[in-house]
Amino acid sequence: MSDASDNTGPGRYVSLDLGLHFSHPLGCLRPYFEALEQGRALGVRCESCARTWFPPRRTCCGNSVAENWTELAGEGTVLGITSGERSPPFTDSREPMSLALVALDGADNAALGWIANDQPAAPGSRVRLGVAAEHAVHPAQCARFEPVDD
Amino acid sequence: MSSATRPEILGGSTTAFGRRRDGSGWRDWVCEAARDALADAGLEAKDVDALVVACESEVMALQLTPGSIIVDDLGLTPREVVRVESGGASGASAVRHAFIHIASGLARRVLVVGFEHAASHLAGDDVRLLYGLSFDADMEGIAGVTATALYALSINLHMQRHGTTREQMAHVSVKNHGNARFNPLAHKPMAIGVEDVLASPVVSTPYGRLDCSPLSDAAAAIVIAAPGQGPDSDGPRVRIAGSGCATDYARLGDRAEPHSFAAKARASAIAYEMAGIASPADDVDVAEVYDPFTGAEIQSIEALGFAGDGEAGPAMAAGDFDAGGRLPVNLSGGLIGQGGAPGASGIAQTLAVDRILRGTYWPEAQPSRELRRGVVDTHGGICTTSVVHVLERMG
Repeated sequence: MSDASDNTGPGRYVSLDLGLHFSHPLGCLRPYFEALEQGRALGVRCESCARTWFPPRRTCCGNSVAENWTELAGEGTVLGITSGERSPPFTDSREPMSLALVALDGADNAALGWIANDQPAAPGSRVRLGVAAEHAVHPAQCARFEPVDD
Repeated sequence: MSSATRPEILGGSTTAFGRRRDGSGWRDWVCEAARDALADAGLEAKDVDALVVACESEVMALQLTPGSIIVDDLGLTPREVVRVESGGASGASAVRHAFIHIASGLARRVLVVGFEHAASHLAGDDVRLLYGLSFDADMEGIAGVTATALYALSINLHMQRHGTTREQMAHVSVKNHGNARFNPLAHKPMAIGVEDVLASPVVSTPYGRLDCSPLSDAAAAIVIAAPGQGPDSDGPRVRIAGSGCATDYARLGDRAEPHSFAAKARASAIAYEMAGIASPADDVDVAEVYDPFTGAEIQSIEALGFAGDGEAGPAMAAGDFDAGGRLPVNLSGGLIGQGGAPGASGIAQTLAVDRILRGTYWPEAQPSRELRRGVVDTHGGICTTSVVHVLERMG
C-alpha cells in the first residue's frame, strides 16, 4: 500500500495503491479447468434427467452432479457473438477478441468463450474449442474457440 | 396482510448522481441522504427502529461491513442494522427487507440507506473488472467477461428472435437522456437524437457508448413505516402495495431462453398478485425500469408485462413509453440518464415513483395527469436476481 497525495480536486485525496495477491483454489472444478488448458471439453452429466452441462453445473435435479464428468467432442455452434476492443484480463495480450455464446454438441447449455477478431464468426457458425491461450493466468481464460473449416 | 396494512413511504432523499471530485466520500453522501430523508419524513434518528444498508461492493467502498459503520455515523447505535446486497438490485432489496421488517411486526419505522462509490476513485478498467466478478467469477469473470458483453449477447439473441433493432434501442437512450434534463440530480442529461446513439463509439456490439448507463457515485435514503406510524401528512402518501423477488440461473448459457428476463417475469407476477394487478399494461400508470443498457429496458418492459414478447421495441419507437406516452418509463432518466449506482439506484427509483404518484416530482418531469400506481423494477447480474415493487397512492 503506497500513500501519496493526489489533490487535483477541490478536496484532499490520498492515493492508495493496493496490491492484493490471492491464492485462489480451483475447487471441485479442477478437472474441468485442467481439461480446458488442454483444449478438451469436460462437462458433467445428470443421471436423473440425462442432461449434460458444459460448462459444468454443480447441481441438477436437486442432486450434486459436480463429479459426474463426461468428455465432449469440443465442437459446437455459435448462438450469439459480441465484439469490441477488449482482451482477456490478467494477461499481457492486448489482442482484441470477441465473446461468443457457444452450444457444444452434446451439451444442454451453452458456454462463453473468446474468438479472435480476425477469425470472424456469426450465429450458426461452427467452432471448436481451441488450444490454451498463450498468456492465460487462470484456466478459465482458456475457453477459446476457433472456426471449424467446412 | 391486507392492502390497508402495507408499509407506507414517509419520505426520502437522493444525492446528486455523478463523478464526485469535490473531496467528499461515500460516508459524507450517506449522512447527507439519511439526514435529509429523516427531515423529509418528519422524523428524528431516535424514531427509527432499524437500519437497512445497501451496497454492492465493499471492495469499491474500501470498507468491509459498511452497515456497522453507517449505524454509528448516523447516531443509530444500538439499533439493529443489516446490509443487503444483490448487485444492481441492492437498493431495491434493501427496500424489500424494510418491507419484510415491517410486515413481520419486528419494526415500525425503518431507515433504508444505499450508496455506491463506483465512479470517481478507481480506473475504468479496474471498475469493469470488479463488476465482471459480480457474475460467475470463477467461470466467467476471471476470464474477462464483462457486464456489457453479457447484456450485448442477450440482446443480440433478442434481436435474432424478435427482430428488435438498434434504432428501437436508440429510442431508449434518447428518451432517458432527454428525461434526465428535467432531473437536477441526474448524471447524464442530454438532448440527443437516434442518429447520435447509432454513431456513438462501439463498446460491445450492438451497444455503443450512448446505449450504456454511466457508473455513478451516489447515495439515497428512504423511510418506510407501518400504517399510522408516521407523523401527520398534508397530502396523500404512497404505500408499497406489492413486493416480489425471484432468481434465474447466474450464467446466461444455462438459461433456456437467454434473450429474455424470466426472473423479472416471475418477480413482477408475485408483486402484481400481492397488489391486485391483473393486467399490468392497463393497471400501471408509470414505471422506473432497470436500464443498464438500452436493450435491457426493452427486455425488462416485456418481462414486466407492459408489452408482449417482441413488442416492446416497436412500442418504444412509437413513443408508448415517452413522458407523454401511455406508460411513461424512467421519467427520472433511469440508469442511463440519472445514473447507475447499484446500492443507491433502487432507492432513488422508489423515491421517484413515490413523488410522481404524489404529484411532487421535479416540476418539468411531473406528468400533468393524475397517476395512481407505479412500478419500481431493478435487477442484479444479467437479471439473475430481480426485485419488483408496486407503489400505490393512498387516497
